[in-house]
Amino acid sequence: MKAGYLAFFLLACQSSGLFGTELYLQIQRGEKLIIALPDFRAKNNSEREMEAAEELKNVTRSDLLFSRVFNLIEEGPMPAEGKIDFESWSKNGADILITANVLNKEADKIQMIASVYEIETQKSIFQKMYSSNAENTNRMAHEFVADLLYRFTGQKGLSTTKLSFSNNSTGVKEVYLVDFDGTNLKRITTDNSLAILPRWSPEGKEIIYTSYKRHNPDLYIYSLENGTNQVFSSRKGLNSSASFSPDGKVLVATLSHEGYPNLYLLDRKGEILQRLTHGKFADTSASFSPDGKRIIFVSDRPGWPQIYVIDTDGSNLKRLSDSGYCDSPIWSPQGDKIAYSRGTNKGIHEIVIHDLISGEIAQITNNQGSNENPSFSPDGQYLAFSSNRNQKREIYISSLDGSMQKKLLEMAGDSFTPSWGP
Amino acid sequence: MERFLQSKWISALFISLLSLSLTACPKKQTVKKIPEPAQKIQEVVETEELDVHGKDFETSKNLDAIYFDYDSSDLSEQARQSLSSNAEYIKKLKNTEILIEGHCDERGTIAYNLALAQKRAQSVRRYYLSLGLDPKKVGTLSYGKEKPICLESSEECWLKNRRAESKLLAPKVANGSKDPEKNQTER
Repeated sequence: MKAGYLAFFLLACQSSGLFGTELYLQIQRGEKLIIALPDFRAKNNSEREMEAAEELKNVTRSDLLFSRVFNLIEEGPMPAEGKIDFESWSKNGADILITANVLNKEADKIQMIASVYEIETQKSIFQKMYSSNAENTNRMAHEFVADLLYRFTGQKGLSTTKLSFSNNSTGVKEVYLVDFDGTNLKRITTDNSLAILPRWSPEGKEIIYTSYKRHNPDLYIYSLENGTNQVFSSRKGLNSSASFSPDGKVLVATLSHEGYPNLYLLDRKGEILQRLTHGKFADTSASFSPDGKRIIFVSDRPGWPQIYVIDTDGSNLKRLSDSGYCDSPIWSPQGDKIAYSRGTNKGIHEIVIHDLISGEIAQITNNQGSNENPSFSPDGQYLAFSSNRNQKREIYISSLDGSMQKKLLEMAGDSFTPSWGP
Repeated sequence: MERFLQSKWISALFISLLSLSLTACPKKQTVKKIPEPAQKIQEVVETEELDVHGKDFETSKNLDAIYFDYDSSDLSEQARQSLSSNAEYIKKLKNTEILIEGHCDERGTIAYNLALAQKRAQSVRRYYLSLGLDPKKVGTLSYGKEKPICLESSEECWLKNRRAESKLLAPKVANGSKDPEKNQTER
């Protein structure tokens, strides 16, 4: 990933100089840029290339629109090799032109060379080659949009992010991965028992989850690099609801081997560093603040679930919520907000965002089934959560004000507990 | 000796109930740790728990399930009576390993219900130990809301699902251990 960005910067510097600066400033002022997005070209016009070119353009379009930074124009003259009709695109009001060539070099290898031009100056802002195997050509479009966004906003957006969740379509709950746009679904457990509560490591290389594979709720870590599932904690009793610290060095989990289900800090090997909470309580769903200094969790201390916060040294325990049944808290990446589900004793929950600075609580969902387990997108602009608003439980994505809410993917069975990874 | 244990148990239960009632005020911003003595007793008992990894347990007609109030792991008088007769039956079996499975109704999240059902299983285990069952032979397992026996969203169904089941170790299968960990390597 890092090497990819380096290559991209080199290209950007060589070809652009200061081109695109005015466009960058325009975005900083909150104005949307207009991108001209003609069809992607199939280099040799083979069937496979034309198919891939169409698919890559479609993915690029939806990723660009999802970013809410750009407006798109698609009608205009198709750029030919070495000949681009900038004037016609300029008349259509476009600021930027994207062209892409798609090439099927070897049997299962697809390449995409994407170029971005500033229309006013007719100069290249950047050009980059992407390659992939035939299984996941979409990835190239996701990476291209991330590069483009990084060039104009300083942040790579969400187009390369994935979510993990559990789903019971096989008859039991297993853990799955899916791209942020609901494509490229992959199952990562085959435990045939109960695999639940996935959470990403901060680097996006691992997922920790709870599985009953050995007839006890134990914690396992899945490695995306190696495709392995390793035991993390298999103490007697409950080993569940684990979550990584922001630096990835420490985890918090619910263990019950010493008595009641309380919170513990563990190192990467699963050894206990410290017991954080004590007493006859159900303490769970813990996650770290982005500065790594505090932990938010749910506890039945009052006799029903409420949100609590504690320092990572076990001091300063405080209650944060004061009404209803509050559950499944999560910290925003910026640290200024927490999201959780708040409900009644009838089991209907709504997602709320609690602003820690102003103290204001905004309700994101309203009367559409029961909504649980919010997870912030890595840029803090969206939430994923589960909802049973359409007869079954599914994963939804929502803007923070709740105005845009959409289903993540169509999938058999019920889906639970999304975790939005980097 | 048994009497001593019993009285120690009742006082431990009393202390933890007392500490719970002290912290039950919903407006309170901070919650104090429960008193040391209760904790110590609790830890001594819990570490002797039966490890249920890789073991299969099965229901028995002679062991009754017990039921809980919403969001509670306290044992009702009726639950105690059922557990007493369960304990009598278990004692007759001699040396049998027992699993207590804790369950919840569908309300609340998966993670919260896992923790709550673990508390329920532990309440039962503590009561069994107070009746003289061998701590090393009694294990707990929380299923949270994952294994409901009734699927409707009604008070009636919820009550049936808020339960703890006592199960007996299943007879061994001819093919050795059923623990997948021991038969095959992790993938």
